[in-house]
Amino acid sequence: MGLERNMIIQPVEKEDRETSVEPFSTTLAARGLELKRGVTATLQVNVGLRCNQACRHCHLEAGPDRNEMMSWETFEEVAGYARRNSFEVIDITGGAPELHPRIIEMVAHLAPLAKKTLFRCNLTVLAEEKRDELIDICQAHRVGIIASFPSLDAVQTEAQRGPGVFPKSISSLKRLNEWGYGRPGSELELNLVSNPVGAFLPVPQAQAERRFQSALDERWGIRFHHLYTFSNVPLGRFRRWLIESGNYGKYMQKLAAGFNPCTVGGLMCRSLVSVDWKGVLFDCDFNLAAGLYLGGQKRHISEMAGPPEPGEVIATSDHCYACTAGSGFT
Amino acid sequence: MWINTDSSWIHLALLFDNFIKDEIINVIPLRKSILFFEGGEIMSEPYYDPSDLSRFSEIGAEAPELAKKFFDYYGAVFAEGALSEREKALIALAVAHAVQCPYCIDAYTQACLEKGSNLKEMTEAVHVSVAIRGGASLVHGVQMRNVAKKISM
Repeated sequence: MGLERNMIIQPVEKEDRETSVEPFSTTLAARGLELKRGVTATLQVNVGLRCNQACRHCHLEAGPDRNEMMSWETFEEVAGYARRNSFEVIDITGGAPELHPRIIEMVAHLAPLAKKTLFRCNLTVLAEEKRDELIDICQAHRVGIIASFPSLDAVQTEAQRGPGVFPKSISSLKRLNEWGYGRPGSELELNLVSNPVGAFLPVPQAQAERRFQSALDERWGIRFHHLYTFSNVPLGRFRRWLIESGNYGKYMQKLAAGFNPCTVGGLMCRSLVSVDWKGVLFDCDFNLAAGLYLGGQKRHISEMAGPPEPGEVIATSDHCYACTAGSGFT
Repeated sequence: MWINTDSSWIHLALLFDNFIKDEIINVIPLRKSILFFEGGEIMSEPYYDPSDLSRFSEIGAEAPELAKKFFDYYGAVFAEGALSEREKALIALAVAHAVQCPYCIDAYTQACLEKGSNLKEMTEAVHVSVAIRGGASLVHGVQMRNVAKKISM
């Protein structure tokens, strides 16, 4: 039910239709560009759509009312695929992957199968449920943590992610620091992700990283390694908000106007394969949300002998403008 | 009778109802659309159009060299320097309110958000503009006092 629900296309108001942009594929073709796969180095595993938050920019519409979770049988197929292919990176995501009832076993199985494992963390589950054993297993396997932290301002953060999220996020970051995550020179990587709190482009990454590092250290003694700033992708709950607030057309124009051909070669979809909670494969997490299958063809992970071949065409749609605007989404 | 659609003007008009019956309430074109009612005909005429902002470069049509110098200078001013791009955008937002330019307010509200500022910081920047504008008027009160003292007994 999850995917079908995600694929419902919201109607766009007349005014927004009139300000829509040319298809992403046309923009690529006009510049003589093609979006094809390189070497697939990352396996992204979406363990389910359950989340304790219902963030207003979530392209997957994850939330407390979502019950779609990866079964153990599917997980074993995912782990088998990872074992057969030497991925450099395994990226565990959701929903909030912390809420999968067997997440500790999943991390323990997957982490030894790649050079590097990443775990996407919303910070509030760790604050609400402690989950020492989860941090323990991540620490033991040197799993890098990528945490959502949109703004230094509590009002902005909670406008995007819900009431009470800011103090819980601060509390979890302090705790992760205590476990050794994010400390200068520590191999326990702690990186933050900031998405804009509205219909505008993200903060330039290098400037924002300096400001976040300085402010978090001064105000709370929190350290982290890097900040990534990414555009919000016009899918799912964020797309609905754009339409309802009358921002859809202008936002799409802003993304399209910011198209940077230099980003195309480094897009994450060229080197990543994403698997959903049912074991179906996609070129990226956003195509997963849009229901656009890997290379445009529905394939289950159990049918895949190896990673997608270099040169395979990547399925695209207009949401791809979010990854090519400005400095891009790599 | 002419009526401006700006809600504050309508409110003002109601307050001074006795003074405005059958008279022109407001003939000064404000920055937003003006709706005027005359002889039963309602007409809407936009004066400031938000889409004109994206046509700013057209100003170079008649004087391209001057426009190039201006836009090059403009770009250099807002580049990261001793002040960050975020700080410069906040200054621009404050100045936009001082010069009451709707294009600039639109552009620098978005720029401030995209540079990582929040609404609290942006509101404080607007108050800085207001304080300077108000202070600039008030400090002239000293001149008023000087003149008054000189000619008074």
